[in-house]
Amino acid sequence: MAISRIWSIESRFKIFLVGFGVVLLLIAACDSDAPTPTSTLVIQADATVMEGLVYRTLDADWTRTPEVELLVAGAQTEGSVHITTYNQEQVDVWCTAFTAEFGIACEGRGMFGAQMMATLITERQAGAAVTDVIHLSMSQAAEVLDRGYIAEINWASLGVDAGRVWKSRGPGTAVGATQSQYTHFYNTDHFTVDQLPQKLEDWLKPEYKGKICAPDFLFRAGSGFIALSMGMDATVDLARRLIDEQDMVVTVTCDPLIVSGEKPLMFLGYGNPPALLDGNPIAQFWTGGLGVNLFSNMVASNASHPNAARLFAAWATSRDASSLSYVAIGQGWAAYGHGPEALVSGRFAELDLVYESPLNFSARSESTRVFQERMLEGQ
Amino acid sequence: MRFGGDRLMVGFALVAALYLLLPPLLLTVYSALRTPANRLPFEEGTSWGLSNLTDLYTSGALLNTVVDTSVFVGGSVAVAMVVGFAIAWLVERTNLPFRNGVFVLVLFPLMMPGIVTTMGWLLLLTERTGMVNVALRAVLPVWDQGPFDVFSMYGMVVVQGVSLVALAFIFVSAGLRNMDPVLEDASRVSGASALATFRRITLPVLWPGVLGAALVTAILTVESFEVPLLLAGGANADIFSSRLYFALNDASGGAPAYGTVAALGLHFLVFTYALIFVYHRLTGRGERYVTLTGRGYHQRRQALGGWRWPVSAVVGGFLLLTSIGPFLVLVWTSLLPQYMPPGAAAFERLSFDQYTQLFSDGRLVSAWVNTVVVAVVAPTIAVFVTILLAWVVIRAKKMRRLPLLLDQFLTSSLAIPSVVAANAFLLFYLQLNRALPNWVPLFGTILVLVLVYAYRMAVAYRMNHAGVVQISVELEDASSASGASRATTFFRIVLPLALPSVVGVWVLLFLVAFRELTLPLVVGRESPPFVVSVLIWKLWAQHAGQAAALGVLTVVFLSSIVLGLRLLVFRRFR
Repeated sequence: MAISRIWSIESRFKIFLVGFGVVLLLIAACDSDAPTPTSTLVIQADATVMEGLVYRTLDADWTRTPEVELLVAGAQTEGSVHITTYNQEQVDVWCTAFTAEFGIACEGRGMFGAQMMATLITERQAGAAVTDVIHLSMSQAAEVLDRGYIAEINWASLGVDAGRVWKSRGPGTAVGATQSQYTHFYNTDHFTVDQLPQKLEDWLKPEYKGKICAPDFLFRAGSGFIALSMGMDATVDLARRLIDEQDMVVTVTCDPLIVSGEKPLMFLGYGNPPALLDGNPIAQFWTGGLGVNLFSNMVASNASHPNAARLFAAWATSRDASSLSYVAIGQGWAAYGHGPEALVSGRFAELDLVYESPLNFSARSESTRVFQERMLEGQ
Repeated sequence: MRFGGDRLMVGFALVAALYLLLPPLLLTVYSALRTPANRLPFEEGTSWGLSNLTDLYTSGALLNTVVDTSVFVGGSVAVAMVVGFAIAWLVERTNLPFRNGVFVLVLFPLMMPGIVTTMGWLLLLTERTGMVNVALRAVLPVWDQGPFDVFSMYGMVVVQGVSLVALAFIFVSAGLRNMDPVLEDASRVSGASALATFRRITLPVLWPGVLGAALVTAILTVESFEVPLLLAGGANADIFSSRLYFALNDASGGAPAYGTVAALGLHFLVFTYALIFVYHRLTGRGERYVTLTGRGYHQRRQALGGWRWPVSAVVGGFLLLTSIGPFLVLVWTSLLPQYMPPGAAAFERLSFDQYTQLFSDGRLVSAWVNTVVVAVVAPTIAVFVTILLAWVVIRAKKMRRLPLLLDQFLTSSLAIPSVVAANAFLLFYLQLNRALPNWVPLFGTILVLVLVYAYRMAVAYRMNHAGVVQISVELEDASSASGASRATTFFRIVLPLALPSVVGVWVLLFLVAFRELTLPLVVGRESPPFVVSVLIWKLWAQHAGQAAALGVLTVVFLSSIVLGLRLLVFRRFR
């Protein structure tokens, strides 16, 4: 009995393996001719890297044009609006202010980045008009623009500076609302400003060996920007040497390591995090090659509250909305003065930062993808 | 065995198991065969193809991943099994003093949220400022830094292995508790040495539990996220779960590479089924492991004699370092805005401010309530369904095919890493939402979390199976002969006898559910309903002190639950 049972299991397992192999062969026979991904990357010219500098000059506030006044009436008739973005705190402060100003109910959801695309695509395929306004980073915004999920809107008529408007391959248009940037951090108990790396290559100096930490996601994403200015081979080489020669630790979060002094330097942090900077011996510094992100508002082409959505997306480009977002999550429109020091200070133009813009966002996405691939494959 | 009037009960359990387990299984296979990888499997523009699988083989680093993961898994399982078995034997079969205290301490790592435990280890063993290294250098000033480096393969193995000791302990101690010592006594009386008795009696009788523990710890290590995420980058190690993480968190801004995740998951599925197959080969004859019979069952403890206190000191020292150490780091961090090594500057900043701020956080109460609901309901479903089906599998010998299929199916949730399952559930419930009217809220509700958490049936099933297999059928035959129905026999004979392992399983799943991070992080929303683990995760990035404070509260709460159950339930079986 027991032996037959064992044989039964064994036979079943063998049959499973054979069946699995047959299924794979059958599917291989009808495999589509998908192009093989290539690892070669054409680095953009310097002009495209700097084009996003223009956003620093766009400090004109949102204005309530006659079209906006018409929109307000329509929006109030619709009664409500729904927002989707990454951060619930940002949704909450914007919704509270929007409702107070226009008397229109507002709700929304903060969603993890990895979940964002799956949710938006599935909802769209279901034909469900769940959300009206979407606020995303440029690279993820491009994903929904390219899929045709976004409405084409004349933003200038809605009082928004036309310089903020951009589009990707789809018909829809997006409008820049907030910015943030990559930065380095250091522990002021361990380093003075004069002792810090002045440029990216300086990170390879012996005095920094064993003292550097990099947060994993930002290390990969930020290196995509660096590659646009330095070239992919040089960027991968720098990253490898930082890990192999400088014993740089790449981990999920570096905050405890830098505050404790275990790793007093953080390579490629992000934004203007008050929890890390306030009350701790931590300060920011910048080198060339660091990226500046643009986050944009878009109106869903199937929005069930199209007027309220347009009104909200336009209003969220205003100085007041930027201020609210900056206070809540440290991210606003830099030209209004709501952003990390390097973005809002006079040092903005002298740092050779890499500015995300319509000219380079797809190259940046591609360079990050290639960087990840080469680091993972050890190439 | 026939289930005439009781088919409804079994049918319900079967349907529940199918509903909870089929979505991740089918969607994993489906997604692995839909290309390109960076599109949703059911999205326009996708087609059937093998490129998700072939891309894995053509990438040069796959061998590195296999080698590094094997070392990581093998080392971690060895640490967990050796230590877990030793402590379980000491607690269950000897007169070791303070056994209740040891029981609670050994389970401590299970009570601490995984990310917090790993962070605690990191802060203990970092080369320059780690508390253990600082203390060692103070005593033996021969090192400039270190001597331990947590960012290394051995650091990963120790941290992961120690975190799994509790699991190995639970498996083995359940078997030991149900094992009649008369077998060992007979061996000793026949002149066998203690070692020979252990090798030829104890170990073979406990074989299902030991192998089950090894199987589960191996699979949990392969799918574990916390240790690889925090330490593998620093150790320059290429671990399986790191690959999953990269595929899901594409920094280029594209959609997650579900195809790649599913392709990796499919390989994991085959690998795990192979392990389960080996497990079946080695434990196939269930009747060999029956130790809980109707005749003269009793338990007796072995006296440690002169070894009693030296062994206590070793066990105590180990538990202080591995269980209390990370907890103390947690408590220390909870008194500061961010972790700082002990020193004058840190002592000046000690306060309870982090607790005050935590209690004023509006998310705390709802996260706590949501977590308790999910952590109580989901394990209850999983335990009830699996004890019933384990009983069916073991007793329904005449129905040759169904038990075997059922056994393999119920074990299959082990074969799906939680991150792969989480993404499959995300796709499943998003798709299910399409079919439901708008007034039926499903996705984003606590109900979905309950259903998703309950998919972890394999651990419950294997432990319940090991518990039921030790119950002699003669007890049930006696019940049937007395006119009791199958349902009555199940509820009045099987369930009470299996209660120690049932409660053990429930407690384990409760603890796992309470600290579960991957599932709610992927399936849940950034907005409410929050659970405690997600709140800790969010707080950790910006307010480590508050995250630690919440970790401390979690540990205190879970310790109280475990200790209470230990005193209330297990004391009945002493």
